Amino acid sequence: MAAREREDIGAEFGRLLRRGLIVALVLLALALLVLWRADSPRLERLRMSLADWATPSVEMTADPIGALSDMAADFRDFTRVHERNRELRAEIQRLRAWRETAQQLEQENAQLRALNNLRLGSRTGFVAGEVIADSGSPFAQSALLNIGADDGVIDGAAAVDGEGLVGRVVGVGRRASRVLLLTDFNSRVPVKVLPSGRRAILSGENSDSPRLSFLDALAGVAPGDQVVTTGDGGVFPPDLPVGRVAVVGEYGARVQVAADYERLEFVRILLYRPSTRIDTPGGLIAPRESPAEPGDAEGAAPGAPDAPLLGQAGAD
Amino acid sequence: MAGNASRPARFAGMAALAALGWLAILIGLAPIDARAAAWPAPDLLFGVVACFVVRRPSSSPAALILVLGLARDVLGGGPAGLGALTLWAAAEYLRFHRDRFIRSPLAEAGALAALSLLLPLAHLVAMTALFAPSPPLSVLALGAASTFAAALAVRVLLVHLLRIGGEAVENHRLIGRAR
Repeated sequence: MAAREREDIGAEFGRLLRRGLIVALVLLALALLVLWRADSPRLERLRMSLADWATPSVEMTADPIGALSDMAADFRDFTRVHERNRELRAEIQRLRAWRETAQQLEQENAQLRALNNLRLGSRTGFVAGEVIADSGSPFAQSALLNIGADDGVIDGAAAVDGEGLVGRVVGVGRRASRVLLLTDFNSRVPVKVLPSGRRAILSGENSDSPRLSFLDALAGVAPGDQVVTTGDGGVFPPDLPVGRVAVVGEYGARVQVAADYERLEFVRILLYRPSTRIDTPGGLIAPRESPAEPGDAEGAAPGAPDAPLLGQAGAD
Repeated sequence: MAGNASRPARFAGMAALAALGWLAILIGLAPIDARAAAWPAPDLLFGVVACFVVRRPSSSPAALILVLGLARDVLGGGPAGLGALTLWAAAEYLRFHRDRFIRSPLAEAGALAALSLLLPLAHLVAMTALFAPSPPLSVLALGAASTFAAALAVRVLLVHLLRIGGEAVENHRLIGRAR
């Protein structure tokens, strides 16, 4: 009888424990949802802790699936090999013309620099990593890299591929980091449209063509115009290629991003640390006793065009 | 029903669910195409959980399902916690009606189809309530279709290749009732 009672008590205790665990997990899920909505850095730290722990198994799974995906893509390419061949020949012709133009511009640039005795700023370094996971959900557009703080990755750094800006580092673990793609809803990047120089904010909308928000005027902006980063805010280096204007309509403009999201395998994280020294009178509430030299003020402005373009960063 | 399976068998089932669920999460995260307009990846974890909860309910405790859902949400980068809660709700629905699904594969396929559609819709409603932006309905519909197809494929794989059969039904009069 006593043994039966003990069993009953044990079973009841187990049932209570299970219910308590479920309630705790449901509360944890709700708390995480609130933290996510509030953009709390705690959640990002939790994500990166889990990513650090899971990186080896994620890489192990990603490799064979990537190989299968590549095989499927190769087969698709093989079926249209003649068409691709024609496209590549045309591309070579175009690139030859561009190469000549680039060589001329390089010579001209060198001459002008020599004439002006221009002092070049230090170059931006980079660290390259492999994409081992993506968000796997239509509610987020992000990618997980196999490089982290141990490799020198810093929070907020720009991520680029061979074509242009991919996104921004939003979470850094020891061995992994997470990049928010330009197409994500939460992505906002200050850009300018060339050649008009109009400034805007590139806003992701979970579509392949992010919108140019806060564009001061549509005049002078046409499809095909180049879009580059401004460097405002000092998060990204200036003049990184972002893409080209795809559509200009009554309700604004959309950009076709340059980065190849379809085959995003390797990315470079730019290690860019702009000067955040506040030494201009405009940056202080109280003016300094001895105003800075105009030349100094220009040199210290965040986002000053002292960082190299994408190709130069890769040459480091 | 929990009394049908022995304790070691239950724990072995839980270990299998944890391992297969983790594998489903990793496969779902594999980088195949990062374009926003690309065909969305299927929710493989839902397929694994749905198969286990119908066939091995004593080996698929709600706590384990919630932990797997939370791991997927946190690792994926989307709205954390929401996926875990909707997965748990779907699992409890399937557990409640498991006798009907064991008897009729067609009813199970219908439930999987309905849940594949309802899960993203629940996300959409929650995101709207939280004033968070949501992807277009067309993308969600594509995701639901791929999740349904993947759930059927996972069911075939687990039941026929890995031989994960159903636990015995205790009382056939209780079809469609929770135990």
